[in-house]
Amino acid sequence: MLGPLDFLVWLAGFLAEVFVLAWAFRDRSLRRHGSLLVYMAALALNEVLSFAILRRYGFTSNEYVYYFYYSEAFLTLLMFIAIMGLCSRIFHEQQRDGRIRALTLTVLAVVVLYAVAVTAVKHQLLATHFAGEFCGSLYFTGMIMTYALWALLVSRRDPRLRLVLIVSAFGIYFGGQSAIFALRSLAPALAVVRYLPAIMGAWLPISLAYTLWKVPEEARIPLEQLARVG
Amino acid sequence: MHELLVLILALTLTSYLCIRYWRALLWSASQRDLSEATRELGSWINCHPGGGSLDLVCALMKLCPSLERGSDRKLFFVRAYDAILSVPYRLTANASGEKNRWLAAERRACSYFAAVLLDERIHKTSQWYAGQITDAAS
Repeated sequence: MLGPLDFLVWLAGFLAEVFVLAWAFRDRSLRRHGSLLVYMAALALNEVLSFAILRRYGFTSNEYVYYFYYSEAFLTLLMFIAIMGLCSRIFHEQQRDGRIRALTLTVLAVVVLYAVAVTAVKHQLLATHFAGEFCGSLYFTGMIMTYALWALLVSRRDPRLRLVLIVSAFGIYFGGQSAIFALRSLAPALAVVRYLPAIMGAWLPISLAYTLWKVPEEARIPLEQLARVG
Repeated sequence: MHELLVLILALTLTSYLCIRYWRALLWSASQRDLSEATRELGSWINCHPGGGSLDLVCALMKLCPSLERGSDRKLFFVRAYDAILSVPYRLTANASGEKNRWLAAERRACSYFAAVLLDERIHKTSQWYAGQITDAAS
């Protein structure tokens, strides 16, 4: 059963998603952050739909379980495309975005095959298990890709603060979700596993809302200073 | 075993990016220009060699009335970060190496962030006060 904390986190995340979309519309940056905004719009729509299904069928119903797994897999896929969109944006400036498209398709094919193989090996040929494996693999791949993107930003000494914050926020999200997936397998009874996904889910829209609201497009940061640990 | 490896890798990378995210936020906040009211304080922070200046800025903040409920919460994380940094800073106080300079710069960024908050608070208070005078006059 969902508690007040779940609703609070859900509401904070939903408001942040609407804010990001409204801000991008007002800021006329729809084209610049295209894939990111498609993901935000899908996330906001999913919040409304999942709330409606939850109210109508209940938390333990088959309808909600199937909707949850499929929407989760679809949203993870959209998020992966969003992060590849960020990669493409950086590579586009170097006229290398064709390679990024090829890499995206290759990585996606590998992740799908991996999820099918794991589901088959575990003899759990249910579609929900495939969706779960697919999400877990995409989160892990997304984490590695985001970290690679961060390394690329540092190596290119790209000083755009908004981009730095967006990439870091995605990295934290992917890394957090991967850790939750691993923790779920290692210790499914752990109480924190129940609350962390909702908190991580709200983290990304809230951090994006903060970045768009508080950080101007022209803000710059010396990345070599930021990357130095000590 | 596979899950344990994923967990360790995910936690390591997430912690690394969390630190970078936090430092980018702190850095961006500390780059804002201060107004006439706190500019002198800003230059004092920049000239102050190392830690200790955050305490003074916090003491000044207590003197300025706060019109925003819970505005001290913003300072909580910065104070916590400064307290964490103060331990290695004190331990390496005699060393004048690169690490010590980095710690001092990081602590100065914390103080500057607090000065930006103080500046905002002074601005809001003076705006509110000006509004009160206008209301009283009319």
